[in-house]
Amino acid sequence: MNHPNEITVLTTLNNIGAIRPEKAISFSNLLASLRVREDVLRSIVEKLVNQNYIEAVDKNGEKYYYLTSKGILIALSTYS
Amino acid sequence: MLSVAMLTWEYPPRIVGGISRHCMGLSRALARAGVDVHVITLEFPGAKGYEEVDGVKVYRVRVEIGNPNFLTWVFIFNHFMEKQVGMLLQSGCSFDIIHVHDWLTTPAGIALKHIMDRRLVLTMHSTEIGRSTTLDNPDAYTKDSIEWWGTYEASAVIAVSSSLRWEIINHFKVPEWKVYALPNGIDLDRFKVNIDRNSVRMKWGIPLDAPLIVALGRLTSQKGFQHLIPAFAKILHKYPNARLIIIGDGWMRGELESIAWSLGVRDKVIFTGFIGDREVVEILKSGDVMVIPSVYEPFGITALEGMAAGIPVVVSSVGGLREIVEHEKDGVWVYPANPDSIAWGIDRVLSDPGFANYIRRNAFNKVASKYSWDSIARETIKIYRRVLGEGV
Repeated sequence: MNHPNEITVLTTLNNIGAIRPEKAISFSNLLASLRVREDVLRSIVEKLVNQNYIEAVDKNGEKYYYLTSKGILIALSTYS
Repeated sequence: MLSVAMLTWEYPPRIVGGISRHCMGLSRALARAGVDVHVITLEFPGAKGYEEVDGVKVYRVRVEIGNPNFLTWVFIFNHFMEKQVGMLLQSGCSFDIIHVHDWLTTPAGIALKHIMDRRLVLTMHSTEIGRSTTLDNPDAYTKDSIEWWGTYEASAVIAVSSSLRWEIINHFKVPEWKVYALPNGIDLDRFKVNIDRNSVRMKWGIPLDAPLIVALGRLTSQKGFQHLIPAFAKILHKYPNARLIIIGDGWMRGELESIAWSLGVRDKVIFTGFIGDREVVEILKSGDVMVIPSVYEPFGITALEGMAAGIPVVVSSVGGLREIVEHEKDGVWVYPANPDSIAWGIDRVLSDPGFANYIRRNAFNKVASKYSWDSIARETIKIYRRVLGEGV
């Protein structure tokens, strides 16, 4: 998978359980999970943060990401 | 006292589709009727892990592990739901009925049925074969198989419409006697609010004199908004000041915005995204016509919402929508996936205010008399009693 869309990122975060700050996943782990080019994922993540679908927390100088309630509902809409 | 463990992947404020509102309306009405209802659902940001609201005990399960694969995640959260029921049993609760909604909580329901030696009731809100039209990938095939498994294991299957009941009987080869049709209900109190139509329109940037077309639902291909926007472009030829407001969000939003741009109508289509319940009601009550353009709709709870809000409804003549709405009496039928037909239906309402008032009144009277949760809960209890062998 070389070009995941925004929905893939949202559903991945949902399915791995990254739906609250303490379960947030680091950018590097998300990158490894999706197996995509770093610049592609970075631009998607930035867009999703701006749209308030995901939020970032800082842990030891690295950004970790989790879904907001709005992001959860968007992710689940693909399955319903 | 009859005691029920109700398992659902969504319960307010986690509202993905109709299942969430269904479970809340039904469980509260069951509680009013004296049933001890325990809802086991999934966590949601800001919602309490446990609460009792209107007599319903709600447990929001934390799913502590995950997996990028959707089906694996579903089986994992089913395990955590089973664990929650196990903890309730240990604390002294006992259940007569396990009631699950759709395939998503069926695995836990089947396990609990056998572990506890209790009766399983399955409510189906749709089927995979209906949602995807073909079982052309492994995930769809697995969901379809779990649905079959649920209909086999359940003592009773409840379908939310007659058309879905027949779909289940025919597709899964389930005996007719085992499958009941019971519709969704509606809470009319939600719609008993006074609104200032002008201020609602100003809030959303809608001209006060513009014919306002309202659509509501998840932005997915099943809901058919990709056919509504071209219909709206046609309507603008006759009503150049008209506006279309689409309430909701979903994976298809970007594509729908692109369609609106490509047709040159983006400036007249408003996408609200997710908004609160009060705002939904305000918009419905401020609109001139509501369109439900679904291409597949086992029930169509949004039609009930429009009818309860007093806005004339135009619906695709599919599935449950055909059962809820009577053409030219309490709404208008149009052909699904057909922008010309959808535009005709919208114009049928906008061009004749007398007709619009006639169907609006009939529609309200119908939902008030036929779709109350209390009457649906009474029928559900009869099904519970029947599967328990108590007779009714």
